[in-house]
Amino acid sequence: MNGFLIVEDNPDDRYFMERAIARAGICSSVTFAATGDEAKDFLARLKASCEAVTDRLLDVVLLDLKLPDMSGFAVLKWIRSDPAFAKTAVVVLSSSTQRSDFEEAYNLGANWYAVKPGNADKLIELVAQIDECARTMKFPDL
Amino acid sequence: MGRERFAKCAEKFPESLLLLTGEGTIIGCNQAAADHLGIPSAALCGTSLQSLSRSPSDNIRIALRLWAGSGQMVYGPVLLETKGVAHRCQGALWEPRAGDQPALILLRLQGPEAVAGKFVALNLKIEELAREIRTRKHSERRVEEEKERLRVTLASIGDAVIATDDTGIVEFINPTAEMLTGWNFADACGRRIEEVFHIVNENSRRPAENPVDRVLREGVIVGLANHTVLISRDGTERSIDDSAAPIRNETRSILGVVLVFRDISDRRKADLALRSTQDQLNAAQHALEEHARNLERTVEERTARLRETVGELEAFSYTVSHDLRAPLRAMQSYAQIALSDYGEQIGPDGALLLNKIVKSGEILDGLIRDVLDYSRVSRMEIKLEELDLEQLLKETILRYPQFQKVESNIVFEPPLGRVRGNRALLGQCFSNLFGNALKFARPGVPPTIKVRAEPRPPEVRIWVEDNGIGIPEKDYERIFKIFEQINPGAKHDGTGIGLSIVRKAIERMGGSVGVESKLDKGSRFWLQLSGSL
Repeated sequence: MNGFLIVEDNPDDRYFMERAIARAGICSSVTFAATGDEAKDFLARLKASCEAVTDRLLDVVLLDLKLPDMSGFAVLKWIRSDPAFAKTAVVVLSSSTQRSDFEEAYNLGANWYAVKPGNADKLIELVAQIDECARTMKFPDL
Repeated sequence: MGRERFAKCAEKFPESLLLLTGEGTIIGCNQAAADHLGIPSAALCGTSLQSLSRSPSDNIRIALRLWAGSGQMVYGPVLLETKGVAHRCQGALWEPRAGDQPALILLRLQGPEAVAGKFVALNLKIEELAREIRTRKHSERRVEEEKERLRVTLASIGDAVIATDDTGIVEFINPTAEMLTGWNFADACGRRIEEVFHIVNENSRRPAENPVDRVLREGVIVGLANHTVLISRDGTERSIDDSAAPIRNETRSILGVVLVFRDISDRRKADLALRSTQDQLNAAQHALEEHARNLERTVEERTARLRETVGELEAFSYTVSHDLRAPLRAMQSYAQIALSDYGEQIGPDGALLLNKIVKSGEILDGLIRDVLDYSRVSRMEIKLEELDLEQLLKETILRYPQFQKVESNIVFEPPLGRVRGNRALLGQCFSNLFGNALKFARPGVPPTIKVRAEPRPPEVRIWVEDNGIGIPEKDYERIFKIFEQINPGAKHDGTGIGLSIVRKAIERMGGSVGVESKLDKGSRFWLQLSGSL
């Protein structure tokens, strides 16, 4: 199953993401997870249901860093420890502009790190760009 | 009686001696007299003095009377003549008359040469004797002087001296020793050394071995053991120090022992005082070390607390950057969505207000971001490394989409060289300077930025020049202060913190920063760091 997994606990951000995905004309399926555990559950079930599939299980995971049960880094680490998701792009989407967060995300195998824009239109642009990059698996360098 | 006495002793004398009766008859002579007169003694005896003399008989009578009345030898007016040589005569009473025994007279004959010869010999003898006496007196005097000199020396010497004979009996004690032992010369002499010189060990209080005994036993010079205490006759105790040595004669046999010692109580006290001072010093040093350790501990504790505080600050800024900005972003986004999705229904006046909400949100977001940056630059731990400037600038442009849009207008003039700095901080500086250049462009004039380097050994000055609105000279200093923006109002975006961040960052890398500008002629900012082209 191709599509997006958006790991985001903030309802406002979820609303903006939904809207941006719709406005960007992305037709992929979109799943939301509000906690790290929900995200891991979803991915585990996805992997179990698609055992035979050799192509990538999922296009993109959009990952917030600050989650109620664990950090986004823990989720990222978990994803990258499973070869089944090797072809899934992980984009950290955080409000943090700390360089240390950038670095850790890349060190743990994130494909991109994007700062959440404070502007709904810019979010549409960003989502469109992420979709485009995920298709080719070519993301900008840090 | 008198005859026998004469016969016994007359031969012992070299002079010529005769024995006469009071009437002048010769009744005895010695060999010298017989030789002198040339008449055998047997022939001489029985003859009268008159028969040997040509002197008148009256003279002989007078002489006999004179001699018989004299206790000592006197000359009489008589000359005896034999072989043509005249002899003078000295005589004295030898034995007075007793009963029918006549008085006896001793007569000594003196020939002229003999007289002279005897006199000379006698004189020589006397002189010899006198010389000997003088020599003896002289040596006696020298011995006396030497004794006196020794006595004075020993008496006035600062050290105490006791001399014993070869059995350890005290023979001499000088005044210093008298004072230290409490025994005077008269009392000490003749006593055993142990009695006068009573010593014990300072610590054990046990009697110490007397050095005199050891010298007598071993015949060597002996030093006293350390910590020896002398107990004087009145019980006073003194720390003493020194040695005993044998006194030997010319044949090296031991005649006695000389013991030399001195009172070192003061020195011992000084030693003890010194040790006590040393102890105090050590204690002080320990206290100091303890204090230093406490101080170190305090510093460690404070550092730990400070680290904790810094850690809390980090957490706080993270919270600020994440949690505070999230609702702000939501406000902005909702306002914007309302604007784009329901703009028509809201109408132009409502749209204007929504736009103002969006704009204010952006300003607040920028402020939060910059304040966080500034505080991070101020306190972050920085590592300095050698940086290739051109590479760093390219990386900076790549990271910010807003610079990529005008990339063709950002010109580097190589060589830019290398500087010593922190990659993140210096990247931030350029990003802020470029951002300002774009922000403060002149209306209608496309912004251009030129970066060039100027060697100023051992540093490099990097110029960032733009063609913007410029800065009046009076504001050169102000623009680097936090929250100062010289073009306030809505005309330009910005928080007024960007240049403060640049200055803080450059200062933390040990460099300096400045600006040269003219209003409407663009600005030329410079950063100076250690490095080379």
